[in-house]
Amino acid sequence: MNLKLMKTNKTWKAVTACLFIALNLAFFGCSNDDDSTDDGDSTQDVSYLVGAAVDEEGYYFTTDNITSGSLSIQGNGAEGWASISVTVDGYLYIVNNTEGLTEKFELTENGPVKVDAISNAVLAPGAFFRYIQATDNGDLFLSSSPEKESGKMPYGIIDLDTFTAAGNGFIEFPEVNGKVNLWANGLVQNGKIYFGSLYGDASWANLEENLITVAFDYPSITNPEVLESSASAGMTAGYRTNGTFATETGDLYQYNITSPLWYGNEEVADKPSVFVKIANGDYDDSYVLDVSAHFGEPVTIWNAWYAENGIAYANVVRAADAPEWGDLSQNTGTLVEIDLYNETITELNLPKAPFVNIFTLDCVENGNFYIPVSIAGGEANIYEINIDGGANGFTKGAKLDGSNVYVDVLQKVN
Amino acid sequence: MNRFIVLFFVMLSMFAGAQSKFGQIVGQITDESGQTLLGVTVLLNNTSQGAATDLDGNYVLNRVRYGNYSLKISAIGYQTQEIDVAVNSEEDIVKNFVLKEDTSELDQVYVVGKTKAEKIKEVGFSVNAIETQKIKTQSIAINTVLDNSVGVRVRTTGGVGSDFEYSLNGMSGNAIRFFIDGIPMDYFGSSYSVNNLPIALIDRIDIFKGVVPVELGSDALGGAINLVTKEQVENFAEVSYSFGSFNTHKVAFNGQWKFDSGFTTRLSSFYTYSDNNYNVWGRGVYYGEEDTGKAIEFTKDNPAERFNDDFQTFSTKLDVGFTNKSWADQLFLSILGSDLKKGVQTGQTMGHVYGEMRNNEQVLMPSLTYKKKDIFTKGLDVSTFAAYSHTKAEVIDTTTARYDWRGEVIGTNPSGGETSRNGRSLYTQTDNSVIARFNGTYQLPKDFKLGFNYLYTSTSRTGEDPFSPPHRLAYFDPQNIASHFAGLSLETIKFNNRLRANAFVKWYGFDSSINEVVYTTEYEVRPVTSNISNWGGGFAMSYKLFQRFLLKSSLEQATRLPNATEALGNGVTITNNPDIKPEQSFNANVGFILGRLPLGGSQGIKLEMNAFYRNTTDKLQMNVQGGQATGIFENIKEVSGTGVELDVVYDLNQKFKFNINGTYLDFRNTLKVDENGNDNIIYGDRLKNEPYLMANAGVEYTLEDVIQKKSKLFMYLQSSYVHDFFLNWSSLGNEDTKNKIPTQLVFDAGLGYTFPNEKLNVSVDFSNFLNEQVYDNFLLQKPGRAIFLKLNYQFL
Repeated sequence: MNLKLMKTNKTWKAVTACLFIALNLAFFGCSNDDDSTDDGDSTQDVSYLVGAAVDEEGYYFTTDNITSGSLSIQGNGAEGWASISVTVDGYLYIVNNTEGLTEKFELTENGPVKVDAISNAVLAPGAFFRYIQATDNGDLFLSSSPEKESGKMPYGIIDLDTFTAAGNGFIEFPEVNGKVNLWANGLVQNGKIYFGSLYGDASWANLEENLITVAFDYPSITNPEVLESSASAGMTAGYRTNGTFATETGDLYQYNITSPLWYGNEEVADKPSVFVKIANGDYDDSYVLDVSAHFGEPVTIWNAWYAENGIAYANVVRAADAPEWGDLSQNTGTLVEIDLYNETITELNLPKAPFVNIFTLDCVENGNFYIPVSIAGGEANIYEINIDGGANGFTKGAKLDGSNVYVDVLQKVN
Repeated sequence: MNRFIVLFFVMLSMFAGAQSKFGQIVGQITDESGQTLLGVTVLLNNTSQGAATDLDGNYVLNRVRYGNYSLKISAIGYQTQEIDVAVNSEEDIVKNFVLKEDTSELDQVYVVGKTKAEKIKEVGFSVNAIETQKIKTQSIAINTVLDNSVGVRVRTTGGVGSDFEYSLNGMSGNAIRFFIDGIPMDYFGSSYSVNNLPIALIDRIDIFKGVVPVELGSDALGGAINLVTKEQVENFAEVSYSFGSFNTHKVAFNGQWKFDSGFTTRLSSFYTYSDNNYNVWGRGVYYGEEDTGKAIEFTKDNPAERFNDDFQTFSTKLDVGFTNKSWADQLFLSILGSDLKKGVQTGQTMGHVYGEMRNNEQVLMPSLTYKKKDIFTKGLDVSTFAAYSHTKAEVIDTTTARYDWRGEVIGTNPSGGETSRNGRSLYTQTDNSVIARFNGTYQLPKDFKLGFNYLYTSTSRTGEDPFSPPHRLAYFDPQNIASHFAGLSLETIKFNNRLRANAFVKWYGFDSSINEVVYTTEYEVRPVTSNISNWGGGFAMSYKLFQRFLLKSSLEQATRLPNATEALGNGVTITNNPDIKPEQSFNANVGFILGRLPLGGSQGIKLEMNAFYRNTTDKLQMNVQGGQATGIFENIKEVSGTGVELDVVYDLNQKFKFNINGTYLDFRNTLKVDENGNDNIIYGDRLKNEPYLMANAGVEYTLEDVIQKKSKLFMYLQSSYVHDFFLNWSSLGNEDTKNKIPTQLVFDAGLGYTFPNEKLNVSVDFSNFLNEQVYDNFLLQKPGRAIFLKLNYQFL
């Protein structure tokens, strides 16, 4: 290396840098720049993970208190989307589709600290992942939806102990009555994965007239078995959140989406919105909880989250309140308490809100279920709901700073 | 007696004949480099007749009686010339001159005349004018030249031929419009763009900020950049070839042949090729370990090399017509053809790497140009342009292979397509466009001048894709956009040229028929039509307080309509936005120019300062969509801000120059309360993803008689600084971990040697010679160190 040249470079760089520093100082001297913000409380305990969206941007942060006070992303939290994420043993796993990574963060008192990352392209070349779940098999299962042209669905399995890729590929779903699977989301339980599904033509027309779930052996993803229920029709995969969940009894419960907003047609609009049960590896045809009948008008269950002891909470939108897709992001969602065991439905007197865009919600503690209520054009709060507490069994908790904040993630961390 | 009577009447008739017979002498005066000269004195010796050259170096001597004269051309700093001229015809007598510098005079007293660029700056508009004379023989892109100019920021996504975006005083994207000789470049294609045109074809670049004169007719809400090509009276032909890093080759040819009959042909042609295989590393540049999937980042010591970023373009423009005829100053029939092929290496960030995706584009554009001064009556000048443009653009994204940053195939995706979640694509988009422009000016009494400009453009766009995913149906059937622009201006020069004022009104019209896809019993395409019109207006004014001190101000209320890509997306990497709205802005500038102030000896200093205010509603900005490799244009409800820019030039004998400029922007989200009456959490935040503190500094030095007599050696060192800025709203999230586009400080240098005959020039340029890792956009690294060698040769 030419030392003289190096020295010259450094000299030039130093001279010009000084010029720029002077210029910089001159400009900043008269600036009222307020970009610098407080880092927040760096000694907070880590109990909950909150993700929020503002103006198409995503942020997430940890906190020890969601029942009172205020929560803020101003000067606080990490930038990015935690909407496709899961927490396990104090670690947060985020599917970062912007950079094609699945990232592992340690949740510290000072916020999430990235410790590792896996290339999603190694798991499924060219795919992005829409869903992630921590399975009872000690791994993470990542999936998307079946690709439009091939009908195959990319998936990946990450071993949690070593944080390494443990399996991947493309799932080929069996055809049903000459129709293909258009959307799927799976739930792993006892060596099986159950994919809630949507069967129809590639154009999303001629939808199958039954509810369909496809079960595979897990983690081998072999031996597909098609389960069908005539209780209703439409998609059982769920949209933002999984359409299938398990209770303490080991049974699976599942809801369907009937809204024409989802399909672009009204083929299943007149079918009831229901909860059905999968027990012993197949639909229990004797169990149908008809939510539409309760409302007495066309409704769609857009999300449902399981709490405990047979109690789930569902976001139900009346068809009359949402004639267009954008209406789902308005205050059209009603939170409903579903007693799956006793087959009762209770509308909570919470404010209506666009619950449909909550991607990840897993926060149950001390007999309470916590849910963010982000009112379009209004405030966002975390609400504490007494499980099985009736229509008014809730308390308004911590408030998010700012009016245009949408909380799309809430997870109990420890 | 009779003889005397006859002689008397003969003499009387001759006298009478002479009284009624006049000719006219016209011409253009340039320096040795072909640069037109302003303010050169042209005198008919032994008469009281004389003239001075205008902005274009032209002069006119009217009503010159038949006879023999001596014509004297003089200008400070140049050798005086004198020729004999006989006026014996009513036809214009054309006498052009090339003045040579008078170095002996310069050694004694240094007097600097105003260049055309400096003269343009004296109008009231906020305008930079850049002469390319000294740098056109260097391997410097126009983007780089403009990027070093005060108030201008050019953001590129990569190397040669990459996508780019301009920002002028805080206004950016498509709010900035490009013109070539006053004609909008929107329909010239990607090849014949400011990004790819060789600088050798351009004589001057005018940059209007915020307030745009009527003659640049368009909805250029944020500013306009006008490339002025060589318009030379003499024949000329020049060719250049440069080659250098990343296997980059550039060839350009430019020439004009003019015959005595006035028949004139011009040819400008260029070819560019680059592998763009520069090194990248760091965040987003990784591969997955085979056994574990762990993401392994490439480092500066072990970088990745871009492998699907090659760029190739060929463009030719041929003009055939007449010049300097009594019925036309210019009449040209032109044909422009271009072909462009490029690889696409990444999505909106380097986190998504593509190995086979490609873009192609072909353009064929015939046009007709007519210009005439003093048509029908003295003082009435017209300029017209009409063109048809056929553009075919292809997106080739059909592979099932998947690549990582090692350039290796790591697997297959059964649906194919590297960019889309919706499978492979072979999308062909065809645009058929019409553009027509009329510009006229009329000199009114009392130093007033009326200007009128009308511009009509229309595009019919269709598309096809054999893989035809339903979401792209909207792009297959014809979609149409038409826009009208009309502007009227009144300008004047008063008080011994101290006051210059220009007031104008503008009218915008926009008709569109845009497809949307709806589903009833099947997917159907439904055209949605709209018709929008709007008025705008403003003024520009300058006043010379003292000989060297000029104040200027301008303001405009302007509107910009979304273009087809902003509203509809491109069907591949930019998604459509049915909720998109027009952008509107109130722009104001105020500033001053301190002309060259002698500092003693041959030293001098010039200073320009401009402060500006912009208040924009529904500003259009492209955002990367969360978790996706695509972007979308969206409206930001209210943004306003102020800024200031400063430009200082010190020179010694005009041979050594030191220039430093800086721009500071303070643009903020000013929507305090949203439409629901609630507080906006990002009220007061600095505008996201926009640089706000920029500076440039450079030195240049010209040496004469190096190695050989009458040779010239030109050297420069240029540095460019951009302070880091946040990708997202500044107040949200922990500042320490926020995504930011890092500070960049880049140094370029070069030298050029002109041989004594001034026909051959050799230059070498080093860009980013400290090999800094630099970004204009989030996770899109620009090239590192590069070297280019360039040869220029003038035949004529």
